[in-house]
Amino acid sequence: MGSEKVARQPDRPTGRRGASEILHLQRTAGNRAVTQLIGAAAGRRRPHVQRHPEVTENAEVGEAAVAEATTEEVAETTEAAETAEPGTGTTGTSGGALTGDARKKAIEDILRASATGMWALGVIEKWSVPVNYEFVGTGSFHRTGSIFINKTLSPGAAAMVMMHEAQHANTFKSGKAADIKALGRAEYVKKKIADEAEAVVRQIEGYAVTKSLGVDIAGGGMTDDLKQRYLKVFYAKRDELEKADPKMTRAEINDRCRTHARDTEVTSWFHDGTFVTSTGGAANVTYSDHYGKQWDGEHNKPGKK
Amino acid sequence: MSREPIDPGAVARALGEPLGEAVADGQARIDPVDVPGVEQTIVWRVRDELSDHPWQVYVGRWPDGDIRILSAEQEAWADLVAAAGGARLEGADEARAYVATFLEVTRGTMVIVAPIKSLDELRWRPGSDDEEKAKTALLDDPPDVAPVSEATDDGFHVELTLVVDRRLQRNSFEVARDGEIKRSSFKILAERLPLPIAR
Repeated sequence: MGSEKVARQPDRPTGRRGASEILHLQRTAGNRAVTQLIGAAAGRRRPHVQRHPEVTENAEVGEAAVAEATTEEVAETTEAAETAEPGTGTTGTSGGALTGDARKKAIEDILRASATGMWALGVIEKWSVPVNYEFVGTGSFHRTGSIFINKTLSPGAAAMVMMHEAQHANTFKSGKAADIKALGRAEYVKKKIADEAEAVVRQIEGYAVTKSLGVDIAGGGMTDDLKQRYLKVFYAKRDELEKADPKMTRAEINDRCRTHARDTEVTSWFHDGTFVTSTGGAANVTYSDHYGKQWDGEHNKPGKK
Repeated sequence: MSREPIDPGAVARALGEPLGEAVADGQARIDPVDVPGVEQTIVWRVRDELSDHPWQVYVGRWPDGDIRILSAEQEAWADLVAAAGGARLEGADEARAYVATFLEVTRGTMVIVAPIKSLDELRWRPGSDDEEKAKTALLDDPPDVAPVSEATDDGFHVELTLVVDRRLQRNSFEVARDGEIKRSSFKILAERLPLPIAR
């Protein structure tokens, strides 16, 4: 039983537990025990726990099953605060105390918990992608084959962001990135958003396992609500396919549902105002608008015919 | 009023790589930002709209020429305003504008912060079932979101309702006439709302 292993760990410092240790516990004691341990160590109130009506497994969102990881999800509190808090609540997240190699290791350990995270690490290794894990600046992003992870992100949030940016790095290194000079405006916008949608689906697929570790993922770009919207479309398509062809394999159903949900629901988020640029202010600039303007800027440079 | 332009090279160095490149090659725009109650220009907005994910950051210039990032750095803002000799806030409306500028300049770079005067200003987008429930609950029992700004014995009391990503919150400030923000607090009015997410 995993809990016995936990009790026998010698010389264990009290307080914060490292990501490696959390993963070990997850694989031996299960997520419920890990969640309890993390909560106890942090002195936090034990969160409400609820299950999906059906257990959501990675395989259901097009991913291979991962170790013993289950997908219990912690319900987020939706009640408004009763009392005022100090400060302004407008400056975003804070990355915590880990820096240097310890931070890199914590992020990579969290990535190793999920198939999507392993995929992201594989991308980084395959293409020798340089990663700045403590980027001091604005946001986190991929740029011409390098990944910049903002230092203000917690290791959990950084892992979620890595899943997203690894998609862009893979596209770039594979030579499949949208070419702003060669493509027409509409095709450029479509191709850019297709890559973004795939990157978001990667995050959705890695979300349940990463969250189940009990690590802080605030600011990591994925929420229960986005996943809820994705799964609603995914499951509707699944039911439709199962009804149409009872002999269709689970793998084929999952694959088709993933593609369908990505190309309809997730793609719509870049057009309907769900995702907007961080610079647009009250204008709420969608990414379909942004990529169009980006193309316009490239093709209307001074001196260009 | 000092409107001395800022040196793009110094801004590029303050931002570091790779964002500094966009400043150095002219892709990013640098625009002065007026701070209510402060005569000289001490804050600039640096914005690159042409990268894959557009980015924006605010920088300040200290009297000794030092340039530092102000985004998500509220202490730096306080230091900058004090170093510039402080603000001269002459009325409640100016104090409210000062607070609004402070919030925009010091917001996290990936955090949407937008003051609203009415719930009609909220830009709804399609939401999950839970988000739609939160929206319905908010609209069924709407809070008073009108801004408040009034003079006090030692400055001004300002209250603003803010959209902060997917939540709505009421922020309160006690601001001295010289721009020092002596106290700030906030109360969450609603969260998990179907509002835009910055990426």
